[in-house]
Amino acid sequence: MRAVINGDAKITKSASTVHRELAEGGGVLLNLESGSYYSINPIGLLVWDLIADGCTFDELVSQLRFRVADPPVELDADIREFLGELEHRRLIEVGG
Amino acid sequence: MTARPDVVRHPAPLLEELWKLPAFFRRDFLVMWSYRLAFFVDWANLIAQVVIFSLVGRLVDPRLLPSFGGTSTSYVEFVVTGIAVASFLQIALGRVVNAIREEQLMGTLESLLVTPTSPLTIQLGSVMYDLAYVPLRTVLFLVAVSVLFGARLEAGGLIPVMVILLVFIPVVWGLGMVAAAAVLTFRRGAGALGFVVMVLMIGSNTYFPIDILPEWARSMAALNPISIAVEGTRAALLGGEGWGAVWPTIRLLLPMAGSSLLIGVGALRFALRRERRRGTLGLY
Repeated sequence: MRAVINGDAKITKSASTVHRELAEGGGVLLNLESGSYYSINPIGLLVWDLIADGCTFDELVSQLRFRVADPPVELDADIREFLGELEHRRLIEVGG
Repeated sequence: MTARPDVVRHPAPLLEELWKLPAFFRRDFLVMWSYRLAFFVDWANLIAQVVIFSLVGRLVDPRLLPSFGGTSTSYVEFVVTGIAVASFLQIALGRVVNAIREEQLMGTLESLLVTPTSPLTIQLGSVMYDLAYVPLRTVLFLVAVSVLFGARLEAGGLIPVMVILLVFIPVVWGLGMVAAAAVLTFRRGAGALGFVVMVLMIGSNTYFPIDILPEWARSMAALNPISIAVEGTRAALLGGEGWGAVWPTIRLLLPMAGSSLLIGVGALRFALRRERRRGTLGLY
């Protein structure tokens, strides 16, 4: 079972992950360790850009609420789930 | 636009991976068709090789050659069945290794490997065309030799030989993947492959009966997958055993095929992971 990501948890990209933005929107993440590829949608790419320099979960969500037009009420839960997926696939690291 | 972020793993399911294989086949057929001279030169070389051996065969006393199914054979008959399997090995092995090398030299290896396609699909796709062409080429070669040089080959043995070669393919493919891993790691590792193939050929019954080898080499030759495939081919084509030659041969080849594939897949995965980590995948 995956651990719940707290509000002050520090989110950083994994050193072994590189990404490319796609012309048609969204992007592709490559885990250099496993050689596995993942596609992310435009919101996923925005999340990826926002954690470029590392930030806490709360900072990330407030940035998203500011940037996304008409953010849904369940944005926190969606982002938590998304980050959980990325962590599970070793694309990001969650500290604290 | 949804505000829900999403991540999807690639490559997608097995069926989607399998759909990519015909694209590799089409590409390699078109490449072969654009180099028609090389295609004809390959056949001319094969026939020239048989001409040389048919002349050498005049110096060989047929009584020194083993008989198959109670039938004595000429040296040409003996050697062409060996050449058929040996050239099958050389071409198939060369193609498996060159599939990676050519991508490296053309600068398309990195592009291909950054597509959402599994490395195994790329390897399988790269040899798809040859999997179809090389067994066909071997059978056509045997038919041509039979017509041009009067070699007495049992026509009923051709299909059983194709079955033996089909089981021989994973043995070759595994060796090819080890060699491809060597090419990725050492850039020019194909030279070492040539040496290993040469040793395997000398220690087999391809060009001469293994009885003339020293005692210690004879027992090793009996375990050589080339010897096993050649022996089965001769039993089917020269001894008239047909399907009777298939099971004893594939019973010995199957475990070798399994181990060869396992080692090959492991070696190639290790080499790809290492090169990706070092960022030197496209170096050659």
